[in-house]
Amino acid sequence: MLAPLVHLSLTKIGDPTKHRAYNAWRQLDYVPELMLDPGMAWADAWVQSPDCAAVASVATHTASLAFDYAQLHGFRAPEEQSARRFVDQRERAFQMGRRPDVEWARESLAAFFVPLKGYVNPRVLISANALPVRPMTGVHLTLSRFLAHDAAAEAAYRWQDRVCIPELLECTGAAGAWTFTSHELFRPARDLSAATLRLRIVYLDGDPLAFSTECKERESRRRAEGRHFDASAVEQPIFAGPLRAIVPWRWTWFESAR
Amino acid sequence: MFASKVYFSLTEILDAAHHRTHNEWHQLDHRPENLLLPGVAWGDRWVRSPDCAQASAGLAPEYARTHYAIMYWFREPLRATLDEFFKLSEFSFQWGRSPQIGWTKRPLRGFFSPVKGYVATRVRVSADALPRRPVKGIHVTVSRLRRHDALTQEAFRWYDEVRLPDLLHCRGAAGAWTFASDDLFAPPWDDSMPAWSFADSGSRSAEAFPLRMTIMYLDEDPLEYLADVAERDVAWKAGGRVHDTSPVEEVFFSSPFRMIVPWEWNWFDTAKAAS
Repeated sequence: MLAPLVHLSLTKIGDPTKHRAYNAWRQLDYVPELMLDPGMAWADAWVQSPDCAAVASVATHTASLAFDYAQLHGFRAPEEQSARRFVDQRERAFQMGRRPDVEWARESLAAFFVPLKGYVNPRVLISANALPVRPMTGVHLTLSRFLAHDAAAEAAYRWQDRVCIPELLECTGAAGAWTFTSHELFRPARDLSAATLRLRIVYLDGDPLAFSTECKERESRRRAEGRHFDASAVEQPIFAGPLRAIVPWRWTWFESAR
Repeated sequence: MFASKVYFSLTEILDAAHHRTHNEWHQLDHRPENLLLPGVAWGDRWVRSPDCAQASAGLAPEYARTHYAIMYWFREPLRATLDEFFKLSEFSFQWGRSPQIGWTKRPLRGFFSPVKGYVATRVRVSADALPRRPVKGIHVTVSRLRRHDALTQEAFRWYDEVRLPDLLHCRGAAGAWTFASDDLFAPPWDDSMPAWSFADSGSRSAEAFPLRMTIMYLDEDPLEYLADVAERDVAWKAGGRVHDTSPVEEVFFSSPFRMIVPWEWNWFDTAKAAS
């Protein structure tokens, strides 16, 4: 696997005048330095532009998870060493006075995940490992909390793998998908009674909003036809919605909103 | 240095109808697979759009129709890295995922050693990070070195101490890297092992003279950069800061290129429609 460990962070910009500064810092300063480390497999970032936020499903109990940007960093093996250097680099940048984001950006979530399985739409030809480094128009990100590590959770995962994700890949603009779960589950001292996070990312090469609409339509149809798996006993949805790819210097999503 | 060798090539698309398919193939298929290889530190490609072609200077005829430039940076150990790099190329062919062979020509391709990186003081990244920093374009100059002596040294010193620092003051110049043909350095593989080579007429072995290349990394419009260079050159010439390097090198390719935004591959559509 290209990246046996990933790190997801969700960032909210507290000062709406700082979106350009945030993107300039991240894209033109922070990431180029970060990616010099051979342990970094990729550093993806997406924006939850106002049009994306308008169609997202956000759980009411997770208001503190509000975010404008999602970043997913992939680490090559030996992944724990790579991840340590990733954390070190954040501090090194701070010590060099190159972390202006600390003034106006807040991380509403930062967590390590283990990639589970990659899926590629057959029209897309590339390997699942290459998906995160293939250009994309955006992603559809789903984050949920699993409350148990039992047969019901396993059944939900099986349904995702065999029914839900193959159907998602039939939607217009779906290039492929990856699933991820909490890194804590792979530690010797894991606590199976604790809730864990589950992440699904669908990589898109079509319009993220159109994909999102088609997803919802298919889910409604599945429900109407009794083919939808009810995982509510074990799964608490946190966020599901489209995000857009960030093209350098085109950082205008929030300017018209203001 | 984060990479000890680079691969650079100039590509010409022989059939204008294939620009979109070429970009789709490279950007959405071939490059992502290449970036998976642990020895590939970075890979990038730029387009010589019609307006960039018009702004080119000193072009030898065989490079006049260049449409794209591509560069891959390689980490050590080079033997393993290049084995994997070329294996992917053959695998792609065997997978039926090398459609470009039907419509591309590479008038120049070869390996170079990075010589030195430069960064404008306003840009905060290190020289090593410069190639990974997004650009709006680049400016590439390639020359054939006529000699390897004291006069050449003097020209290289001028580039290092005067010319490149001056160019970094121009509009949009974020930084620069210089490169020299790998012919001038130890081969990037064991002498006892068979070496990778290219069979076409543009191969490294077919070059009679070692090459020198400079790439300027630009975060403003490449044509605005060139206009600013031209304007400043007047004062630099008057101030004795311009050096005639023609006894040392023959510049045979000097051209701006633009960044390639995925799916925005329409630079040649207008040209086609107009013709």
